Amino acid sequence: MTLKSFLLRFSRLLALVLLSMVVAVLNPNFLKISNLINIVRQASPQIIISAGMTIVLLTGGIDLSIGSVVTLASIIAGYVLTQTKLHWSIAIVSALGSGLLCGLVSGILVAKVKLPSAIATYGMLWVGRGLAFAIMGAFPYFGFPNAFRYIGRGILLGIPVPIWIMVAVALVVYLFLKYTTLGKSIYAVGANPYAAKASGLRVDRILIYTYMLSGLLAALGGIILTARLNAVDQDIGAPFLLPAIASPVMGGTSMTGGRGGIGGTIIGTLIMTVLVNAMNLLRISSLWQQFAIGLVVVLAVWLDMWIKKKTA
Amino acid sequence: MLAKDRPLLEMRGISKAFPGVQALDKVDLDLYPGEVHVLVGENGAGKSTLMKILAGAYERDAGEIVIDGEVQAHWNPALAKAHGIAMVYQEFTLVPYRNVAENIFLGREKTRAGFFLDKRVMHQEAHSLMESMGVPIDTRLPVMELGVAQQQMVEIAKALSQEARILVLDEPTSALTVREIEQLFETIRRLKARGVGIIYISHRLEELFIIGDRVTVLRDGQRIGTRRVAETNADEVIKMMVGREIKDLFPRRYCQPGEVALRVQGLCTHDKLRDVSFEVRFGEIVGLAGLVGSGRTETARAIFGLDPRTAGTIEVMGKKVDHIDPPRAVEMGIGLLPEDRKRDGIFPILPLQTNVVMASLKQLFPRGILNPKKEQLEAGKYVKQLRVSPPDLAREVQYLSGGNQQKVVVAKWLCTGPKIFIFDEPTRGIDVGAKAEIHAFMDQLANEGNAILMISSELPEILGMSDRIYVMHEGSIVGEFPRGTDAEEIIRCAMGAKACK
Amino acid sequence: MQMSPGSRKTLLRQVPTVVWVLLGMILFFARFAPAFFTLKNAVNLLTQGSILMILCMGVIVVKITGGIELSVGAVMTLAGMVMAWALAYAKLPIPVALLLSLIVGGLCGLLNGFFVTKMDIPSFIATLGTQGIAAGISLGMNNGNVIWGLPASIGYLGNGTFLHLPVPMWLSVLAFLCSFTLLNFTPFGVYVYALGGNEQALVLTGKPAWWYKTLVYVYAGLMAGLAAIVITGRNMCAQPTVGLGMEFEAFSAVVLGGSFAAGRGTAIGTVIGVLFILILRNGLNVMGIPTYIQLAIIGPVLIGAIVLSVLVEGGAQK
Repeated sequence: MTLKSFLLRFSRLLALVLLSMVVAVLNPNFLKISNLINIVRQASPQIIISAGMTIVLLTGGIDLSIGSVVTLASIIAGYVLTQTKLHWSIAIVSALGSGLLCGLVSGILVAKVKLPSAIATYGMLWVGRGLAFAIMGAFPYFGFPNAFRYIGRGILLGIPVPIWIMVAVALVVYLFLKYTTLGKSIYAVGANPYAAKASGLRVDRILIYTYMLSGLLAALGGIILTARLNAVDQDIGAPFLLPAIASPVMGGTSMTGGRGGIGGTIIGTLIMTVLVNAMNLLRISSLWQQFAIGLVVVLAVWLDMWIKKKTA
Repeated sequence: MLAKDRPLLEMRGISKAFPGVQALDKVDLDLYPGEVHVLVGENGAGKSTLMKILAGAYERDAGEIVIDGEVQAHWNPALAKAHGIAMVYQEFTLVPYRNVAENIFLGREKTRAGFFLDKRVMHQEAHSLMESMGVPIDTRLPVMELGVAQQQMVEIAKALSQEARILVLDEPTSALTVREIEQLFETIRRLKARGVGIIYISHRLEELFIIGDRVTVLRDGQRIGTRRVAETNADEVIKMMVGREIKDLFPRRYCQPGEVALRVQGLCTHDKLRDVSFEVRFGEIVGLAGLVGSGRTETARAIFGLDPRTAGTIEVMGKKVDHIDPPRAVEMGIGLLPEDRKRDGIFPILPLQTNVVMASLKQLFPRGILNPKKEQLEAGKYVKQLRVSPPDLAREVQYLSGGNQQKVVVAKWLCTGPKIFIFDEPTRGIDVGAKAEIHAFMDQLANEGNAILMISSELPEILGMSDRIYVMHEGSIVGEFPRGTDAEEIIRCAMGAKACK
Repeated sequence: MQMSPGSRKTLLRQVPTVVWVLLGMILFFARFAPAFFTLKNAVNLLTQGSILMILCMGVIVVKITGGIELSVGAVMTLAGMVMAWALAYAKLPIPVALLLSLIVGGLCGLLNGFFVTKMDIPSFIATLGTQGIAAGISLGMNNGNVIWGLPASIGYLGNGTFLHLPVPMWLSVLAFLCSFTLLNFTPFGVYVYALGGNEQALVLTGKPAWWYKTLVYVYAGLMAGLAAIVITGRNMCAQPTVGLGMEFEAFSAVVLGGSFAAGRGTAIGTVIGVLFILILRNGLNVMGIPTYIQLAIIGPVLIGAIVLSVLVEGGAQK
């Protein structure tokens, strides 16, 4: 069984490599170091955001508010940067704080009010959106200080800063899930919430922490994005939701909880980014990207269900 | 009363084996028109397997099914239905937000123009059906607004509307009040008068003598005997149900009990429990007997803080506990081996070692940082002690056998180092070998000075393992017995045959 | 769930919470926005809202079976694009183009149904996937551009009047009658509730439950096709992003209308839910509140109303 699961994990990496090879054959420019770095840099905010979703999925829930939280955090950062005279670090802290707060509310709705997570976080989606509109009004914020933009555009030791941040986040989440009792408990809640409760785990608290983490990571993704684009509007976050669900599932994280991890999510996101990058290189209109992603989501989830049925 | 003509149904020499267990062994059962044939037996005696074979849900290994004197070569759910066999399961098959008439005719709606519901005809027919059963329920009410008893009547009406001649009622009174039961019996009498044959599965002896014409007792997959109700009595039926010698099967070595470990007084929950009081001492195995639904599991859940209590006190090792929830219970040294192992016990998709340490994360890793070496060491220790097989710590628990899964749950609690164990159906659904091992282990635990409360539906287990026995009935403790009490006495008490103490 | 025998709730308590909130809102707007409480505004509101109304009449049927339909907005967009393409580029006759719109809607529904029943994908993921696919095709098929050049007579379906009332309003009434009849007066309606309330009950009758479940998604797709006809007629063009976010509005309306859980919900309740959203938006408009602030208000009010309804009417359990 371990061999089987090893092969399954390996197969995803294999898919990524195969896809890359096909693209490289069609367009040799794909393999240029600059293009490869570009792909990883593009994927970085999505990987960070998807990491949060991965943790929520591990508990057997889903966080539909993720795109909305990205938007809200970005707009709050933009507001502090352009509408106040506060230091840029305050912008980061308040953006991250807003993410945590959104997660706290979602978590309470799920754990205490016992709303299904899809409904609770869908509500949060609207609230976050509403707040974003209320704060920003009709005009986008743009033109941020250079120190802040460094987060999105800077280069450290030849590698873009977003990649450094993404690697750090991935490492921390990996260690958190694997080597902390809270991480273990998250798997337990997803694997069997009843047994978790009957084993004396504080399921409510674990769920609330989970959604707060998801909010925090979404906010971090939003900050990097804002810093990179040097501008922010209300549509900045929404496109991140679908890939955030698709990439963990493609990476082997089960929609029913208890199984999966951050490694697969990174591969899943890279597959999608490579797909988009390839479409650009091959001059396929970016308008078809949504179509490709939709198809990939369905296929990925179907594969997940199919494997589960086969191994059950 | 009995019709003299040929039986509606004969089941002859029915056998059925599941992996590791002979569920039915050459069982005979027959049913005449207008007869209520009661089927009794302990849990696992084979009643529901037999009924599932009748319904066509299971294939039989041997034996024949005879309808109206004709041996049936083929048998499946559709044929069963076509021959007028209808089941009323304990779990209802009703659509909550649709009305009574629509539920009765679900899947066989009367239509006009082939598309629209003919509500007038449906209501008329449903109404006359309900009338004929003697239950005037407004057929326009959505089913969700009915009480449980009325929903049951709708289920029966649904069965009858399909021209059922053989009606199987599985524990139909388990959720009903006394008045509702009376109503159900009235309906059954009317059906009898119409020549419907009824197979009635029940745990309650008193019902047998009110409504039954004949009774068949099953035990361990065998038919022990069939009697006319008029010619038998409760004592005989109980003897048939219990039957075997049990003294030597169980390893319990008595030892002198110590201090009181757990004392429960006047425990109530909002729906199930009324004034439950008992105590368990260190070094003692206390059995909690009773029928399914008598409140035993609810008692365990309330002590462990899984369900809220509305009144009563719980004392653990002499200290009164005001607020209790599972984390608190674990801290105080209580371990609960749950009744539903799959639901409340194991994490099926997690590896063995993670399952074992899951209840003691806080104790083992107080700083929140996991140490995989220590995790393996701890898990390995208990896996060895309990002889879990295979002893592969990385294996997902879902791939272990039932007995080994149960051992994993035991290991999970041993790992927390508790002093008070609550075992809820510790050997349900596991093979004989593992059963004996778990019994031996419980004996060892008690003799090492731990307190054990054991809930079981298997009377031999209760009698063989317990130092003292409490019996529950309808949410209260109705009797306390010392070791060595007769099985009949306990069954009589559990069935509420008469007040006891 | 109320299970006590024969308990009839008092008449006042039978009125859903959302109706009280709705009445309060109407009073509020009538007091603070004089132009709100006029016949003209009411007709205007119902005409503009007809598209949401039509979509919701499909979504509610899916919702009762316990499914979540998140593709209707994108499917409507796609159906509109295909219809406009047929008219403007392929020069097909109008009836064929209209039929094409319905067919595209139905096919997308079939795809959803296939994902859900045959591939065992949870409904909201399946429909989210279809959303991506439909939105992607809509964008890609004309390079992200609007399709113009539709025959003038198509405008009748979006802007014309029939018996003094706007055609879109009639069409939304037609959609309502379809769903109302289907849910209340046909065996199919009973099966829809059975799929949500107790699927096993339907399976035990020997009926092909999976097929009925598929049909439910097809029906929602057809409604999206009908909505596409109305919106294309009204705009006299097909925009590749016109349905963006409509699925979320539709979902909110359906839940507001009392479909808190599988097996629950009615066509009439859905009308109330839709009216709630329409009146909220229209009232804020009439009061002259800027769009971005409206968006800030609408979301929280909707969610507040849903949470309140769920808490009051006890739909919180699974």
